Amino acid sequence: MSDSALTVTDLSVRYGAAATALDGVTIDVPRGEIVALLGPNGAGKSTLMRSVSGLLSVHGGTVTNGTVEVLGVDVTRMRPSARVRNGLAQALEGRQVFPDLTVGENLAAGAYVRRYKKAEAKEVRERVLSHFPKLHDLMDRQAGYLSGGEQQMLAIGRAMMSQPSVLLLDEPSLGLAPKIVETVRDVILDINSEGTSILLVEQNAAMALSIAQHGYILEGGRVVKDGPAADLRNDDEIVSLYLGVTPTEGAGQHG
Amino acid sequence: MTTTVSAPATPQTAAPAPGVRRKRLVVLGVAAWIVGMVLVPWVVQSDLWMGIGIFALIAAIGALGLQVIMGFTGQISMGHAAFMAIGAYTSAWLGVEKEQPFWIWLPAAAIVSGVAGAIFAPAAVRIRGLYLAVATLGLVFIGAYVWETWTTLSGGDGGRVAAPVVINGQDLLNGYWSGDTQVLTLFQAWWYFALAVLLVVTVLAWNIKRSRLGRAMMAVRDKDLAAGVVGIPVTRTKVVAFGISSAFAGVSGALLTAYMGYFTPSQWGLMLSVDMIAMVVIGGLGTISGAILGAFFFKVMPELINWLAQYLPFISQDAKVDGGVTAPLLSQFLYGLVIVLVLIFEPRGLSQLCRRPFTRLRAGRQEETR
Amino acid sequence: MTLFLQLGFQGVALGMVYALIALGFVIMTKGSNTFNFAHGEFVAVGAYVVLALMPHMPYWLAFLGSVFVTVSLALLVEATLLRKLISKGLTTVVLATLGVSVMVHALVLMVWGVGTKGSAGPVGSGTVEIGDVVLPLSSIATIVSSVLVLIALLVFFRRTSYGLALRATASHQEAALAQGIDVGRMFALSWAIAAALAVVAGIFLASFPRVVSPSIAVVALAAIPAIVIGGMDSLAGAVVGGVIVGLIQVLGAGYLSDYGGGRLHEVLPYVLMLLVLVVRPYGLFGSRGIERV
Repeated sequence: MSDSALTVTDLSVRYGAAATALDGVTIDVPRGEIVALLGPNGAGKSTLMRSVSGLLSVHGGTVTNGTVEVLGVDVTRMRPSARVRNGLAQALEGRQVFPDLTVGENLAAGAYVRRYKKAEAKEVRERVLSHFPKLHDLMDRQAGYLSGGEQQMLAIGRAMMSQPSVLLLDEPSLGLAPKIVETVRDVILDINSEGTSILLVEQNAAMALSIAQHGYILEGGRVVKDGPAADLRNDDEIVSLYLGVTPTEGAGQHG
Repeated sequence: MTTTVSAPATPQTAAPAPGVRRKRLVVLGVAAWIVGMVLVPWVVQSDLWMGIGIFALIAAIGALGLQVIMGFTGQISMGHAAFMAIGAYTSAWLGVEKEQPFWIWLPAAAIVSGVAGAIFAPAAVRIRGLYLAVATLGLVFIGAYVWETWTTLSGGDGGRVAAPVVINGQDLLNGYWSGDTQVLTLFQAWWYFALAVLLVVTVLAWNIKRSRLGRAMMAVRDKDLAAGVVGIPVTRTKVVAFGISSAFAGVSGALLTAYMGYFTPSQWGLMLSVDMIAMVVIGGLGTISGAILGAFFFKVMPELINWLAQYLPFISQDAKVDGGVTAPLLSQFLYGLVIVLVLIFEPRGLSQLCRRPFTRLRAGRQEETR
Repeated sequence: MTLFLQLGFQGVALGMVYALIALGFVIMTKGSNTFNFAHGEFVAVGAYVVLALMPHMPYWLAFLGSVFVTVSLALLVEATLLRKLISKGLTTVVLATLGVSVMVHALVLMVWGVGTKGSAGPVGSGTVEIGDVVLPLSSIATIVSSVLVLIALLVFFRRTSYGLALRATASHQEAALAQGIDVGRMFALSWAIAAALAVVAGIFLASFPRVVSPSIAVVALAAIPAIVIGGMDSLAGAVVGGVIVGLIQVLGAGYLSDYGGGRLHEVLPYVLMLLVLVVRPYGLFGSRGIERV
């Protein structure tokens, strides 16, 4: 039985005929851990997420080399639905709830692949909602009318409905007020404490590194740096590039 | 959004640059085509096939019009038949009731149809997506109703006489005579007349395609959102394209009825619009040659099937009330099938299929000169 | 007054038929991002197959047989055409459906000929009298059956997991994919539902006082003004639009037959459609996002 929840090995991805988006990327998310994926815009973070979840072809991309394994199972050739059945779930960048469906229906859509019996469905929903008490009162509200923070909670909750082993979170703090970001952060920790492994793509490097055990820096389609989160937090280069402060000033402020 | 990556230029050798060579080949090809077209009436002896050819030439004019709105500007129009009808009735009224010569009624047909198109268009083209297709669907049904009901213009279900083409006092439907000798049969005379008009329209279409307007049209086709952002007046471009397309349709309709001599309201239904779309899709969306090739294919194929029907036992040549594979139905089925096949396998249509041997030739020659 | 009630009732009945066809259009559009011009031909196929099977078996079996044939045809088209062409853009797909409609039309004529046939409806030409008002049984059957179908559709969409998955796909295709919903299967499902609706519409479109004939497909196209009037992406709009078009046609035939050459009522829905496009392009219930360039 593999020790790793998610392993990406030597992955290369190309959009269309020419543009190489990822070049020999290797990433490992150990079981039960949170791994942060950082990097500037256009570095290939979204591409990597899509390669893992299977949505690459929707955007015109192809895997030219390498593999993706979830819990030891090679999913590289699998369709998205198969990957979800194998324990993968994703909260897309920009939340992407089903705007015409209610909160309750959004959650039910997340549970679709598992075909729960009625009783089990209820149980799973209660468990997911325990992480998001606010959503309880919004169950019949159309998701399109929720606030950004509420939608983010819904997106994560929806992903949890399939009881995934690996959760991909793509920029969960994007566009959210600092207070809400705090709540999101706590939710992620909560979910992780229950055993779900998490790959966290974030522009908010401080938040990501504060909860991750390990981190990868992606630049120009390649992994340029990786290591334990603690080391990355203290790495001067990282701090100045991504944490937005000069090393002497900000070190140790977040975390 | 698509980005085009251009291939690196071939290394310079003693031969002239590929662009110039290509242009020469195109000019040569067009010249050869024109010469061939001029020679046709002397080579083809069968009246049947000459008739088909004339219908094809006339249809090609309409197809070119449809190419402007569909191939260049990327908008689906189901209303082409309605504008062909407007051209037909305009020309008939001017040519028969008002006894005007063809060099009055033919341009008039173009102008009236074109203006009608330009008036109609703004309502439908402001909205993205299929709204033009749907609106023009309404237009063709409303048009069909108008022709049937406006009996003083259309002659009702019984139909009416069309405008004659009179050159030097001679109605071309009788051929062209010099004194007592017939210089040209009606088919030959009409072939040249239709060919002349087609050539004029083709030159127009060619110029439009290469002009700023043409580039604007293609930008709208490829991504109208992006086109708007770059400063192209999207709505105005679509309206102009639709007006031009309708004008060509009017010319085609006028010529069609003039050749037939007599026409009824039932000709201008949805089926005619679909036939025209078929021509443009099968021939290849976006190219001049595609429109013309498609028109010829569309007119020639039913006759080929008809001819084949003699040899195939299961195809009868008479229509039956209770079913049965007839030549016209089989050919209709086939053209529907060809539309689908073209879209799946070679969206650039027959004209691209015809070019393939030439591109391979050219590529081969370029290999030699390296 | 009795004339108005009689015509109104029949108008609603015809309207329900248009509503079912319009629903098919909208479901295919929302469920698979396409517009299927061949839908009218599917209605025709539905009616013709029922008629062909009717003499050999009980009516309900003939109906099911037709559903089987028509749905299979729709799925065949969807699998071969749609999947291959969806990446090439909406225009290409729509043109392909146009090609399909030509093929199916020719096929219908080859199999069954150009003549008009009998009625494909479940009830004959009988009538019912309520006071002074005479109502055709076929209109009653049409309305009752259509309402039942609508209720079934509602239950399907709101209470089953397939219905939920279909709505999710229509709402946000990529997110649906990300949740593990098989979007390809949802496309097929939307076409299958539309085809089934087409068969129901077909048998009532070919019910007294109308019959099965090749022109059914063109008559079915009147559902297009219905969806424009109702809003091209609205299911409720399809139903309301359909009823409006039906009322216009029947009341128009009754009251306007002296004006405009006697066929004005056939063309009025299209006139109304053009008006709606100018004044309020998203229709009664459509979403505004579809608007201006």
